[in-house]
Amino acid sequence: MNGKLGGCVGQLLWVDLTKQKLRAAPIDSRAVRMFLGGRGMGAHFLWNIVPRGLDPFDERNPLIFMSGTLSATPAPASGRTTVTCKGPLTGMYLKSNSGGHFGPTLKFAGYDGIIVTGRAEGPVYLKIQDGQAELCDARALWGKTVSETIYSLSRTLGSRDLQVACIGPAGENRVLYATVMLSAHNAAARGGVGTIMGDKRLKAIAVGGNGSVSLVHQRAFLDSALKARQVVAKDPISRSLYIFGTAGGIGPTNEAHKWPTRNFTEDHHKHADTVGGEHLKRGGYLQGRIGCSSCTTSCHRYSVTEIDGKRVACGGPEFETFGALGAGLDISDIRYVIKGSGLCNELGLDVISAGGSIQWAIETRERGGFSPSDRDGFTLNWDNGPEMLALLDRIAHREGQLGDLLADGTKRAAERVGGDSWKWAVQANGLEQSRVETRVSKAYALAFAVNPRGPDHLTAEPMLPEFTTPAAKELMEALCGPDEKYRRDDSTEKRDVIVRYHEDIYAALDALGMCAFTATCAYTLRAHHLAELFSHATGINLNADQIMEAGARIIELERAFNVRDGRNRNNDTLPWRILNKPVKTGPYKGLRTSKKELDQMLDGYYTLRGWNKETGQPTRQSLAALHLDDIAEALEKIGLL
Amino acid sequence: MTRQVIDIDYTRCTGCRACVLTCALAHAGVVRLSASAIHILSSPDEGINVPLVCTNCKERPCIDVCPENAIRPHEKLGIPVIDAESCVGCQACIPACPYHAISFDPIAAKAVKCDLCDGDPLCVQVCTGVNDMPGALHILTLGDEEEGKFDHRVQERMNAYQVVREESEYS
Repeated sequence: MNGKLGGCVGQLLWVDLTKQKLRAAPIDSRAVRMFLGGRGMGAHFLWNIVPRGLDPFDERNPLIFMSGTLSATPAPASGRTTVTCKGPLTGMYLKSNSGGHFGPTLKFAGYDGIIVTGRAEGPVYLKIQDGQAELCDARALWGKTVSETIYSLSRTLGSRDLQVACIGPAGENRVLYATVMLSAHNAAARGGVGTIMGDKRLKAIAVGGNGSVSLVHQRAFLDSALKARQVVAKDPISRSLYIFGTAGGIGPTNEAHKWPTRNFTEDHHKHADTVGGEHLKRGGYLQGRIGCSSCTTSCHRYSVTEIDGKRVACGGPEFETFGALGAGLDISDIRYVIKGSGLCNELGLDVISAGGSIQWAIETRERGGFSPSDRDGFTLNWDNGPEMLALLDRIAHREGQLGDLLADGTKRAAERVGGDSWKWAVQANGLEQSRVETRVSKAYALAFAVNPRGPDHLTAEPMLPEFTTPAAKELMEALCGPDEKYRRDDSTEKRDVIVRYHEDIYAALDALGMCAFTATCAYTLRAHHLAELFSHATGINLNADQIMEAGARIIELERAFNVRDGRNRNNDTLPWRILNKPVKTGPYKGLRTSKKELDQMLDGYYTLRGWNKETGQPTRQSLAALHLDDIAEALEKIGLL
Repeated sequence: MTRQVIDIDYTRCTGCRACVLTCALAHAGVVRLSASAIHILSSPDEGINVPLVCTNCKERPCIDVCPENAIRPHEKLGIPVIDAESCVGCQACIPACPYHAISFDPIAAKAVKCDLCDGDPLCVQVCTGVNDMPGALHILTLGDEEEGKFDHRVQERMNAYQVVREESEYS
């Protein structure tokens, strides 16, 4: 074990649920130098553990929890945790990342990460306190909601500083888009990490402890952290995120007719004034702002309201929650979005896939795809809050034929229903697309298409072109030059450069445990800030270029994982509706992202990455440039290089 | 001697704990929860976070109760400071503090409390606020006329502490 490595605690916990065996092993400092930590280490282990072509439901599919290398420090917004596995919804690489305090607390409990393989015979939970890890009987927890599980474990284990990662009923019932909740309000949401946790019959992981985290150059680290915090806190976008949350952006998005409504058939939500982030505050629903570990922004909300005289509360709702459970369903009463958001957290459902599946079901009913007997008594109308809540519950429990159908996501549901219903399943590779108008925002279109986990916004948030803050303008000019034409959201030029930058820095942030809103969105932190923090903490000296290179290495490895399983350029695509059906109203009327446009952007992007333009696959040169020669060898052996 | 205090608007605390991690790092050289002199009691169900730290009070029961005379006023700032050499870890000071601002670090086997970082507390520095909106922690030098207002804010915070404490009685 390398005792000199700072930031990290220095050890990982390996859990084999089949054999009921627990083993601590030192973290490899060379791997930390290569992959920085967090998401990077998750990808590294996934590549090494998963054999080619493995079924995601094979018990050998690991579920990897990694804290960030800077988690448990005052580095700005540094408490994020990455959960990695092969995804059940897409059959591809999957990382799902969440804020909160789980990652830092895992370190105080004595471990940088947990790698779970195998499958338990009956429900178990994993307890880690002050370095001691133990598997415990979880039969009494099975069937409980997320907050019930956390409450019950807190009572049993008797510690207020306990942090719990768990699944709700959705994960137990093999809903393909179940979340791992890292608190009652923080979700590792996308792609079905909770589905795999449920398949392993692992209900929860409870961590707590009073361990120490050492930093190699503490004083210098503290100085860098203080400076970085100031920079992030000063930014006008941070301000907006603090006041209105992520959902504060809905107003202008809706005004520009870029706010996907009714399953992407419209782009203007007529109730957006009262169903969005600004109204959360102005309407008096906002109870508090919640900070993840060491956060400088506190975009996360805590909202409270009443329905039928009963108190309803939730963490959020976020921008995407309003898209999935609000505009997407044409909801006119914000209280149902608050309740729906809270319900998804309790049941352990990904809001984007759950909302997307219900939107698909309503459109299927509209187009005559369901007979009355298929609908289990549901009307399947737009703007029906109570029905949305009932459906979420049915989905999480796979109850009735409609609940069971929608629990598999829109791709599989459309395959079962048949006809043209696949055309309004707004998904690619099996993942429901984030509620972002990718017919207009071309940088997002490209980022979504090349995302290794499917079309969503959490490997790159390329909002840069449109943003006018000083930090955003400076970065935009550094990347694309001064020409104003690149600032158009619907321009396809230079999108490759913009997306690559966002992907690389996002991967580095995920590895360090830092929030994307520190260096994208609020474009305040740059690679040199991350380099300083990483170097002072770990004692491994990396400069800004090396941090970006490590980010690129993570992206390259994630792609290699998918390529090894036979994925290629054909998988770098967008939902059919985005490629074929234009926006109907507003300044972007008539716009779509055509296959031809996407192909042009992909050509540019592959060229920048040094990948094969025909196949979208990494090359010997691109892998060697990132010191991934072992990956190149492995791909060559199976004829994929 | 003027009274320097960390003034807390608990309604602005988001529970991020940057202050906790920073305090531990600066004082113990490692990040360890029990090494911090500031703590936060959080109620996720109510969205309330209550920071707890020394108020540099006038009564100073911690000084009186310490059998080893290990807690003495700081020469310049007046705040009671624990002399780690003299502290035997008996923990008599912990229940004596009405503001729940002294804790025990089992690793060092010593009591831990705020020393105001020589007048420029790091917990206040990391609690940046956002843009033009202030954070929860501020350093304040109290004149006579401000003492009443400050004491009132402390009382309000202690009331919130009780509410959260009772709600989380399972601990």
